[in-house]
Amino acid sequence: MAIPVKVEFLAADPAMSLLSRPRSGLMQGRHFTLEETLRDGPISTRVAVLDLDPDDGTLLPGAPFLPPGRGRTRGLWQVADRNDMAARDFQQVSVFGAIRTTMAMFEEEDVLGRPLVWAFDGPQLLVVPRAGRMANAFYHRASRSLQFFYFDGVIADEETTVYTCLSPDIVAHETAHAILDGIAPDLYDATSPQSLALHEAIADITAMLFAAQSSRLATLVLEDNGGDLRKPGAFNAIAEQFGRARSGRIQPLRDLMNDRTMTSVPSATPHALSEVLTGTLYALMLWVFDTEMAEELAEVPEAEQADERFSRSGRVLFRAASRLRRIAFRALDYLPPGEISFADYARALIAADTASNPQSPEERAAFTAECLTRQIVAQAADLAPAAPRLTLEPGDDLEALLSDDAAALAFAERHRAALYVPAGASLTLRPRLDVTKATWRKGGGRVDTRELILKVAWQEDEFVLDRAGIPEPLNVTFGTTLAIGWETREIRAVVTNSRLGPHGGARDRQVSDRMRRGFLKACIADGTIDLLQDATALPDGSLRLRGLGQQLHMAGRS
Amino acid sequence: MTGLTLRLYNVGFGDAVVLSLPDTDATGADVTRTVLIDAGNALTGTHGDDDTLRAVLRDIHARLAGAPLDLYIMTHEHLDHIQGPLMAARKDGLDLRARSVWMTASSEPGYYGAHPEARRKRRLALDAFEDIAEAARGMAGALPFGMDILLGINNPRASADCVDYIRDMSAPAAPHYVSRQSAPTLPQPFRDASFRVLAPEQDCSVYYGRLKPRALGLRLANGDSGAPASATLTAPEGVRDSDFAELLAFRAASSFANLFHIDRAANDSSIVFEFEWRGWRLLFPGDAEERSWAFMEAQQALRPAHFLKVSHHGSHNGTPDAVLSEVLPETPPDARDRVVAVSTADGAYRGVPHDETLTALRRRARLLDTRSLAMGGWFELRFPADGGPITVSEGAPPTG
Repeated sequence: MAIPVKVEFLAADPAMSLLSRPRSGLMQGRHFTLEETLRDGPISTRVAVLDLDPDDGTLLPGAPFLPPGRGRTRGLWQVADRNDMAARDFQQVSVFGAIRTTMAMFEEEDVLGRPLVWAFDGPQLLVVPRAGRMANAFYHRASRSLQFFYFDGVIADEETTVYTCLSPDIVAHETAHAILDGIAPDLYDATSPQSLALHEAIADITAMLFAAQSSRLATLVLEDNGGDLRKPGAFNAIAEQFGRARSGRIQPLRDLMNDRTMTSVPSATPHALSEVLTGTLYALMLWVFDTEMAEELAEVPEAEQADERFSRSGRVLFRAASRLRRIAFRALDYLPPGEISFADYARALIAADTASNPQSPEERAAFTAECLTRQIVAQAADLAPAAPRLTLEPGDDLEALLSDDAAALAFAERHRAALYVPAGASLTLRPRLDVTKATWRKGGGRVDTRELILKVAWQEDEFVLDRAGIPEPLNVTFGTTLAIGWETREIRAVVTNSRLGPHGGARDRQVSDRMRRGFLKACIADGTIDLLQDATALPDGSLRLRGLGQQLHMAGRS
Repeated sequence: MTGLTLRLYNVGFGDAVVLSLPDTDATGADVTRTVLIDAGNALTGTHGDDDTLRAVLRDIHARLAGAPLDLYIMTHEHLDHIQGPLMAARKDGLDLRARSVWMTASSEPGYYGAHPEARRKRRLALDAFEDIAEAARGMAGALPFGMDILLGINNPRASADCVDYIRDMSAPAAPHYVSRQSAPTLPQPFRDASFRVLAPEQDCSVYYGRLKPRALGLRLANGDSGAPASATLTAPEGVRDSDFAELLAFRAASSFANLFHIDRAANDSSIVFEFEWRGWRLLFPGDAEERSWAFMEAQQALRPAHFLKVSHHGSHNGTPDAVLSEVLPETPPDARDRVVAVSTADGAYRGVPHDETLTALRRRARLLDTRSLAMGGWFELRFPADGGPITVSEGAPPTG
């Protein structure tokens, strides 16, 4: 049964909320219609807040759910005092609201166009809003949970307890990790710093986009910067004051407005590298913002442009953020399984956008130029979508490919060469996706496109790892994604990270491999990677590293 | 004396091993050298019986007949290996002396000042230990199975006095702080026998793995079930019981894992040495676990032995596969007897002893298990000089 509900969350960073308490209360609401069972907690079928007492571990009562009726057109979870951030019910409701809003950003029909699935078995993400006392927050796949911690700090000259579950940017960031783990689960076991950095970059961009869609926060940011998003710190400011109170792994959002390149990052670590990609994506949003603003102001007399720029900036920001969300997140469903370099992500982005908006190459051109500037690829041709080397035969039944593992595997085996699978490699299938996405065409209105997304993966032994002086090969996952138009039966995209693929010999591949070798060597040397804990020896003598992304993340090293 | 003898006491959960070996002095006269390798048992419960340990120490003291030990070896700083000498001094007035004392490298005063990475990792581990200890102090009723003994033997405050006492056993001579790297500078204590030190590494930071996130709201079930809070909390409506249980297990396991973390790091700092006399090769690994064995294996330091004091009371981690294949190869290199001996107790420490590990050892050598002895009883092994069969006798608990 579909239930209309209003979810609420702290609109701005706790520090900003302390500084300026709006009369309307600290919370912002968002309306949903949820086809889920809703209970006190908040607990829904897909997200459950479990408020375990950090001192004795007991499960504390959750905020009561008030269903629609008795004068309420929408259900909601009750908060006794909507200005008391320290109250349990406030925190329970706020963290739930921020998580659901983040999920919605991905699920919308013009973004992924499908319900999210988690990387773990089961439909429900568990959330512990006060997991313990430390400056940390993380997603943990094995326990199906987001864990938010708290610590003592000083905000606005007040000694206070800082609850990470209250910070919308931290909640959005951690939720994005859970979401991305469901979309690209191989990144969990990735060994290359670019793969690990991709997680961080997407999480940071998610937090920025979350902030950009918060009207109150966007207004604050634009007022501070006169409607100019190019001012350093425009969006970084949302976490700046909160960051001052922090210690440990929780940092303010990374500097989105940066000019980092693959050769100018201070180190080839996931944390440092992620700035290159966040900077690239933020630059794309700026390009959209500037383009849209120029169109807005085209008819405005020059003398009035400054005022008009400010007054229209909120609307333009919203549109620019929406477009970045579509283009950046849609790419995620096109990622091939396995290790992903920034160039692989960029190829997926170009392929996804080309499939959705074949007649509107402007954003792709801007993005490609930015990728070249930042040395993500060496030449524009390295991002060109691969021409499909297969076509569907009349007997290929898309329904069967979607729901029948044997049929899908037989299809993949038949097209091994076209999917760039090395000879002899053992193929595995990833869950197929049935996606219907809405696309807004310039002047053409809305177009709905249904796709079958099919992914195949395989393992290859890579370079030699040094295990206590004994060299051993490392087992690495590769894959190919195939997007098939449901109505047209055309191959809409082939995206692969295979060395046999059209970009297998590109320079970015060599750079990524080199970075991985250096990163793994350094991690083993400093104990970040503990081969006794993290490596599994395979029957062929190679090693497979597991959970590196998780370990780095929990330790605040990513 | 016609052979080398080794006496292994049943002290409960702990170690006390005495080696007596024929040697010659500077004039060439025959003498018997006595080496004591660890003396302690765990603090609490029936596995740490003070009366038993005191009786064992009295027996060792009496057999010395007033002479000092020729060598005392403190393999590592766990209470179940070190508390004997101080206990004997305080409770029975027995001042055990030694001509020479060997202690694990990281017990040297100033060690952590000279090894900043080891200091950093130990500090993190101790912080985690304090978290868990504090939570345990606040718990009503019995602690989860195995937690009491882990907290006891890893308590740095409780072990400090014991270590200091051992440090002074050879006074005025200073103890030797032993690592693989420092071993070449050690004076060889015997003329007719040789020592080879295989571990620990001088920088013990290599023995610290990665900590789980601390402060994950510790809650463990009371009593001996060992189960986390899932045993006492039920999932709220709308959440699968199994998911809820796994969430709680993760939180509890993180805390428990950190307790094992510091425990393993100390075990891996054990002095591991091989002793060779008249063709007999005896290996004493203290409580070395996987991490230390991995370093020894990488150094290609492991060789077949005729006697193995089973590491870490028979845990699985104390005898990885490499130990079996390198130290006790399926095909022995010679026709001499092979004996392994484990000093252990049931119900003290989760997974210790590990039955499958003991079974695997038993397939390669004769296994002596202190659990078959009365508390305070002993096995005595005699290794004849001519390489003939090892004889094993058992002794009753010392009295008085």
